[in-house]
Amino acid sequence: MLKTIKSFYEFIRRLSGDDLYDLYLENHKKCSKKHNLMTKKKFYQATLDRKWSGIKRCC
Amino acid sequence: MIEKYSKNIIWILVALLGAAAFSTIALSRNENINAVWFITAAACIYMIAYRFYASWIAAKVLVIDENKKTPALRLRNDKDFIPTDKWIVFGHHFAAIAGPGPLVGPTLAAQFGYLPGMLWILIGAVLGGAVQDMTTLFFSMRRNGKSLGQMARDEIGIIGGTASLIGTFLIMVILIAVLGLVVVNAMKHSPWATSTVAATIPIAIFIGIYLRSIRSGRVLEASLIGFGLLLLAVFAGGLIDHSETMRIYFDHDSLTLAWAVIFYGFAAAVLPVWLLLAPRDYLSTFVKLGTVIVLAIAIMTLQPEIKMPALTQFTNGTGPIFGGSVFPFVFITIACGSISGFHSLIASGTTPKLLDNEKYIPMIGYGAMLLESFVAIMALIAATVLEPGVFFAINSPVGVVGADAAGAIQKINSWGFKVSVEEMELLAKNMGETSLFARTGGAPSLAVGMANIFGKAFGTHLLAMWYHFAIMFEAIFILTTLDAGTRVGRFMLQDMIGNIYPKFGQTSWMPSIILSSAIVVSCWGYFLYIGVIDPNGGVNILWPLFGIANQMLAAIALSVGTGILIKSKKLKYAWVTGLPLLWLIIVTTSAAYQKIFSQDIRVGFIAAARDLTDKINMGLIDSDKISITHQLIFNQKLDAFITLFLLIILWTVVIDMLRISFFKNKS
Repeated sequence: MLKTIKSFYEFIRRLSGDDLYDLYLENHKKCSKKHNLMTKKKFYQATLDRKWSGIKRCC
Repeated sequence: MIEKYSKNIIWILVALLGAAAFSTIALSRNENINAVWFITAAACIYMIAYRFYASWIAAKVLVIDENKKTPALRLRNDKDFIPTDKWIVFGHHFAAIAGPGPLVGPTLAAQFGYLPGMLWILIGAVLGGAVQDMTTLFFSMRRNGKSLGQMARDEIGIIGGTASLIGTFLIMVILIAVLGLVVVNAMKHSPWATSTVAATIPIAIFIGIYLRSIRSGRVLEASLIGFGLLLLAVFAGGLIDHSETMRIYFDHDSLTLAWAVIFYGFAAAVLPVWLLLAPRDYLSTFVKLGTVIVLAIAIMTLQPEIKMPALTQFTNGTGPIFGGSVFPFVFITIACGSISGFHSLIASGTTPKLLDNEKYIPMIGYGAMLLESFVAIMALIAATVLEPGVFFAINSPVGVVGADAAGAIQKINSWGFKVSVEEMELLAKNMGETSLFARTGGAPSLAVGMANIFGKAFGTHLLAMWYHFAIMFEAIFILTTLDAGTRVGRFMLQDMIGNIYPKFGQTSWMPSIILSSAIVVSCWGYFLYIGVIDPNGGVNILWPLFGIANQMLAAIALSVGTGILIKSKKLKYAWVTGLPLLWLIIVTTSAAYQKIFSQDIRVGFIAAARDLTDKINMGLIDSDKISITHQLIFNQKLDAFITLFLLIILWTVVIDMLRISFFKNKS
């Protein structure tokens, strides 16, 4: 039961974009080319700029 | 072997149940029918369509290859191209395609009765809309996630590419105007609705600051806090409404509110995205998904009776909400929910860059559209569970039934729908409003329907709260579409003018931001202003125009798909996209023709302009209304020109597609 609740919570986090920075950190650790690590705030801003540069919401 | 037979038996049972539900709906006359039949018919048809038709298209027509690397894997950059779990993509795709359209369109089309809308939502979605979304997603994925505009340019030529660009811009302008009108009509002289909708702005700004500076990127907790604040705003709106000193600050006429929406739209387009647009979107997605799920549960548990007849006398074109007969107008009134060209922009936007396997294309492209179609069915149910007399009293404009309550009731009774002034007064009182007459646009009647359903499920003593929650629910994502649409329009304009004056193309250059935002806002602001001053309610003009533009874009998307199928030697399967395309050509052309040339002044733009000119010449217009009448005449002519322009684009693209496809095929 606890496992189901946890996986549901993780799904909701992923769906809402709540864990994007955690994923970014994970990928950054794995990545062989070391770019400058963005702060949480900078990363959030960059995500929003990218997200809202095109048609993202419909009628 | 046994397993195979049992599976077949299950599908046969689904088919039989669907057929039974469908025939009950189609054959019921002069008796109330339960909404459960709607849900059953829809669910069975969706299941069969998804299991058989979508699978067949995937296997035979598109020949989906699950071993082929998708753009998300091949071009992975963790920015745009990110391999993502299929359910997450489904959630993002559905949240992107499902806006206010599937709620408003079916509500307006309910004037024909429940049957035409119901049939078109189901048949249109499984044979048209879902096919369009799925094929566009597939073709975009096979072209490295190219947009519809780029594919149209590549596959049809410069004409197709330019047409889709202009079409997108026009849809954006008309869509924002009509949605702005829906919000204005829900707020006019309603301090509760106005204060609640107004409160969503500081709430969104607070969440924006929270997400940027207090707890960066913590979307989930911010959305929960925001949702709590939105509920508080609905409650506080009630207190404001009951306070004699406070309510006057939020009690405004349509024109004042229209100017407020126009000013808000400009501010939202100019302000940084983190401050208003992004947090509002988080909140609206949260509220949208939550409310739709709760509505579905409430409808399924309560099983309300449908009060609207299967067909009304307004199928002949004399409907009070908008003029025009059931064919072709039901097919352009309900776009989102059946087939919407706008979806093809999403299916060729972010989604193709996220999917990590082609085998999920039917689930995302076809499945998400079926879910949107189901939302449209629920909106239709919420509108048709109202007594028809009440439905028409709320949705009929002053220009049709008159401004006087007794006169309006007399008129509605003369159509054969029972309703009384006392009944409407009691309803308005229960909903916390002073009047519900002539609240056109679909949002208020949908809110009354939803409040009734929620009230029965969770307690009727909270009807006014539910009504204003529903208004807030509709307004919050209408305003998100308004913000996002204005911003996209701004980018498109900056891009276009940037080709001539490169400095203007720099999206962060402030003079360019202000000027381009002002132009886009002026474009939709003009139509919103005209819609507000129009005694026929504006929806009568704007919604069909939006429908024609949206279906034209769908025709471009299906032309691209048909063209690709023909060129890739799959002529025998070209009917899959070709048939819905043919239907859209017939529907859009006949609707556009009627909107331009019909002699009925409630349908034809030119006839309406001529009628108003004659009235001025004969001295039938009061002197203080002459200048407004001139504006209305100009607008009718402008609308006729826009409709003609859309029609020319449609035919040019289709003819060009056929020419290029067959020429290339032969060569």
